[in-house]
Amino acid sequence: MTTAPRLAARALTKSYGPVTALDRLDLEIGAGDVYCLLGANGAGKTTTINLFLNFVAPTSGQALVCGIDVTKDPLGSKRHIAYIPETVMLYRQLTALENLDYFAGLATGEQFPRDQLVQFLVEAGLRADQADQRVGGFSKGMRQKVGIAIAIAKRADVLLLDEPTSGLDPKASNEFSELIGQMRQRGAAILMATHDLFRAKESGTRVGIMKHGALVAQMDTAEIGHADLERLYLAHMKD
Amino acid sequence: MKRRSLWRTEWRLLAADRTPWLLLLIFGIVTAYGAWNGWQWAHFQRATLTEIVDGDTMRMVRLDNLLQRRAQGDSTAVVPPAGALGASMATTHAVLAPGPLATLAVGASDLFPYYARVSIRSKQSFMASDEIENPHNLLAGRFDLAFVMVFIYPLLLLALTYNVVSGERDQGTMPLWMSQPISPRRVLLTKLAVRVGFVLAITLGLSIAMAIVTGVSLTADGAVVRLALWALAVLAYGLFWIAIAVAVNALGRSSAVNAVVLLGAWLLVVVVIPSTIAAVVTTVYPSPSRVALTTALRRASDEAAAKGDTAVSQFLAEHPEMAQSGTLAAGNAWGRTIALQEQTTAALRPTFAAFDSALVAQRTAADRARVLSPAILLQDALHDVAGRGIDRYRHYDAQLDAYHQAWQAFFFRRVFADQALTAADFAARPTFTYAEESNGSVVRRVLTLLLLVLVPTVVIGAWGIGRLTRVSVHGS
Amino acid sequence: MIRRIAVKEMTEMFRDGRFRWASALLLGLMLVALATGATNSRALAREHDAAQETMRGFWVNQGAKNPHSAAHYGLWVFKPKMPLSFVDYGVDNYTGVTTWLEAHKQNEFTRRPAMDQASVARFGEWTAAAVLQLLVPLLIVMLAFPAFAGERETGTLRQLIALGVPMRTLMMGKAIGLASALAAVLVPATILGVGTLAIGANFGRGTDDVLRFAAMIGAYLLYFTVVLVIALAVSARTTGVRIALLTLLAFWTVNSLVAPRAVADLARRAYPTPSSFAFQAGVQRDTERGLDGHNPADARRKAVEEQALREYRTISLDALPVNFDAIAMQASEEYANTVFDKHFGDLYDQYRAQNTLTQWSGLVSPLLAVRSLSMGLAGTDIEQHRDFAVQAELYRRGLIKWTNNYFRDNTRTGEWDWKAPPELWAKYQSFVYDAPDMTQTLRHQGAALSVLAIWLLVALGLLWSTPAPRVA
Repeated sequence: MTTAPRLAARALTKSYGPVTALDRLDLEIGAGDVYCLLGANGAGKTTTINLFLNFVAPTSGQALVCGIDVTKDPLGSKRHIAYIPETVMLYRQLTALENLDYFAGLATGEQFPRDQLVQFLVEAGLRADQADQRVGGFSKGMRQKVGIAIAIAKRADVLLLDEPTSGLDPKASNEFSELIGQMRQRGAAILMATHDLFRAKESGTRVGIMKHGALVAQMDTAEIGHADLERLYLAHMKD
Repeated sequence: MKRRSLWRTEWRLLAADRTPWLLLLIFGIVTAYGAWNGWQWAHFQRATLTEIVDGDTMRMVRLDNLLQRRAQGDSTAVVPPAGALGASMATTHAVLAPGPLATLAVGASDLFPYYARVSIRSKQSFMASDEIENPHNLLAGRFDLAFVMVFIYPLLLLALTYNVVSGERDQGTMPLWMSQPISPRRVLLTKLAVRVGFVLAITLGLSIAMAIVTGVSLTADGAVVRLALWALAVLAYGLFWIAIAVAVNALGRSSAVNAVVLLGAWLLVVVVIPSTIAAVVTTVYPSPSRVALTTALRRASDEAAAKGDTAVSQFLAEHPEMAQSGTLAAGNAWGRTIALQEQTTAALRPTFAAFDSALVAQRTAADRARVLSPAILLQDALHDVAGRGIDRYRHYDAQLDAYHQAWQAFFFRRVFADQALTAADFAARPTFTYAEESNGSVVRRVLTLLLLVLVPTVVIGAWGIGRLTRVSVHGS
Repeated sequence: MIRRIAVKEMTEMFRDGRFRWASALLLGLMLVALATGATNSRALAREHDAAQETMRGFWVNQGAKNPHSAAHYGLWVFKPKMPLSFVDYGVDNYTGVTTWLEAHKQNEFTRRPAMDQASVARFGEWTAAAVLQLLVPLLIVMLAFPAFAGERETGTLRQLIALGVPMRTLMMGKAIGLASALAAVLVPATILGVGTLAIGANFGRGTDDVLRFAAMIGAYLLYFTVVLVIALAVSARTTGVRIALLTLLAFWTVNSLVAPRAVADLARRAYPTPSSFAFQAGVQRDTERGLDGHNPADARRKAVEEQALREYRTISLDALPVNFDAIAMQASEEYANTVFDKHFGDLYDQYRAQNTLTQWSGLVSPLLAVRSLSMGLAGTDIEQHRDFAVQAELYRRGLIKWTNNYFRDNTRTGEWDWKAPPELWAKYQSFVYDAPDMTQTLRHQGAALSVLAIWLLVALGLLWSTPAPRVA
């Protein structure tokens, strides 16, 4: 069991020419942490996630996953990460099971037997009979559950979520919260970029407020109530 | 393990998509049409040659009968003079039968003659006629299997590979596997390999099936070698286009941009570059003028005729083996005609040499320039394999020349001595059988062409594959 | 409103860097094509005309010779290059350039220039016609495919419809706008073409050439209109820019590169032609046995003998005041000529049938129709070749008859050694070719014209009937 934080950003900076998308971010997220990154569109939340995934290269600074520098060992770092994008896009003509088989296979290098794959889907919140349906007909929430099933199969140490509750109805949103709780119990470190202040307070252990690429505030969710969180957020958002 | 699920999923995706199957169906139909046309032409040629050979055989039998009757003392059997026999009555056609894989291409065979009635007259006179064909059809070219391979097969490949990377981006599935511990290059190349392997296998299968259906006999000499070369050529050309598709995909643009760029590349390689090479080569190394040759021919023969007896004596002096005495018997019209003809030919030798060297210069320039377009390289390779290329015609032409000389040598002696042909003579006359090129020379030529196709393939492919590692979720 | 839309389209086009590059490239290619075409054609025309003069010289200076020997000596004629061939080479490289006019035989035109060229030349040549037939439609497609589909995708189409702009007005405006932008490219090209024609005006027939050129411009404009309207119709009816582009490019590829070949094979199958061997064997057979098998050569000769004896009221051939050999030869020439007329006529008619089928196939691929028109008007198609061949053949018949008549009237039967004076040969007029005028040419292009007209109507119909997009 390593004592190194699961996710660490050290002076992580990303500029696109004159525009600074992320300005010297310092962050540490450990096992069991659910860190919710709040902020407006373009504040730098998605950029942060993309940097951890090595989808973009940092201008300066480091992004570390379980102590591994993502730019130096991208494949190694990805072994520890499960990523669920804002819209989970799957192969429409394949079934939920076939999609899971594919991505889980890529993720772990293992061949999971059918029963186990169905089990993963059920754990993620789908019904067993939905496993053999083509995902072309799935709603956003259902596709997200397939994404979670992949994360479960991967038994990842780190979970990166980008706007996970956007477009979900309250019931789906609630189911999602429960899943996050389960993943947390298994010891995953979770970084979630979100607008959803309510969900951040409900599911998160810590929140960070981002503005123009900088982390302007950070606190434990236990220390603050729903109303105060909103007031604080809006205060920072005022220019 | 990872590999199996990659391959399996790619295959599932391919199977579920309707487009590849539709495209393959169209391609199959188009291939069948091309093969049918190639068969039609080869069939026409073979039927014509059968008619010709049958006609010749009958004539020779009749002539032989005549000579035999003469030999037996039949006074009603009037044998024409040796000149008449050598110029037309005893002549048969030297034929170039279509080769074993002839149904796969039409190539140059609709433009060049495949039968010639060799006589003691000059080559220009017996090579005077071309095969009958509507010049509009010659201009358009033929829809044969070689055409399908050079022009349409790349479109099939490009249609199935243009979005191998961009499609994932458009679909939005890229982030899901880009976040997995597998190199993007491996995922994309596997994707490519599944699609491409499938298409290549079908195309090769179709080629071989069409060959067999159109009557290519695998036991014919050289058939298997040539078929193998055809398969290699199709494979090499396919790899070239796949390399291009990979390179364009590796640039990270959208599917629409890829489609346009690839179509542009196809246009460039298959239409623009060949036409431009043709324009430049024929301008810098212009074709020699047949008009000038015709005028020169007439002038030379007029001059020889004007010199008259002098020209005849000159010829006999230069060819003592032709006449026992140094002069020609007074009534020997054929002797006179032949002597004048040969003097004319001798006088024209430098003109013909200049003509040929201009032709050769143009062809050599074109051969050097063709490395710029794999389409030209493939077309030449396929035509060569099918025995429809210019090399086979030159090979035939050389044998024609040799036969012409043998024929002339056989008859000239008798013409000048005003000797009648006997039945025994007739049986000993030179005959023509076309000797096919050795498989080795065809293999050598074709493999050189294919090597030239593989050079840009490897360069572009390597660059493309290298750049695939930099593929990004957001595109460039 | 149409004008406003048209002006907007045109302005957008002129500001588009891609349009400017593409137009510049097109004009550049056009210039090169016209220049090389003009140089080639002019050089070849001069060469052919000079060679014709030389051959006439050979004929005139034959010296004292028996008229029949002169008939055997004959005359080579060279196909002239038509004035507009610099625009469209047509089939000039695939038809023989010369033929030998001699006694007893109608020879074919031999040695197609394409045989003396490297095989890469069969990929196609960059003539002005190629640029107009292949590249301009591509430019049209590239410019027109986003006309509606693009606006649909970006949402501006919906805004326009919501403003109350009728779909048809939009159609007309876009069509006129794009056409104007294209005209800006094509007008300089036309001027270049006219200029090239004017420079070579001394080897033309003046007004007919101008008319033909104007007709060619008309044909191409009609073709471009068809392509533009089709492109707009496809753009208006497809759901996305990508599909519009790919559909149009697929259409262009099939139209330009696949259809001509596919149809050539179809035409050959529908109207097959004999092999050269079969053709010559047929001519020989019919000459010997008679065209209908009932009039063999020896029977014909007998008839001629009887006819001659009757006409000159003598009992034996030796007593004839004229040369019977000449009479017999002329009779056999005339019979052979009927055989030639039948066989060559049938062959050329078969070509015509094939080409008419190709023209009608323009209903599937409009390029075939405009190709046919272009070649016909430029004077580089098979009908032009046939016209020259027919005139050359008529000259040959006249020449041979003249030699036979002279021989008949100036000698007695059997005087094969008699030689005509050397000044005689100049007395027969030299061969002057009278090229057909445009109306004669257009008679063979009826199908092509109809096809283009039908295409225009169909395309307009498609465009006109496009349903307005759903605004909601």
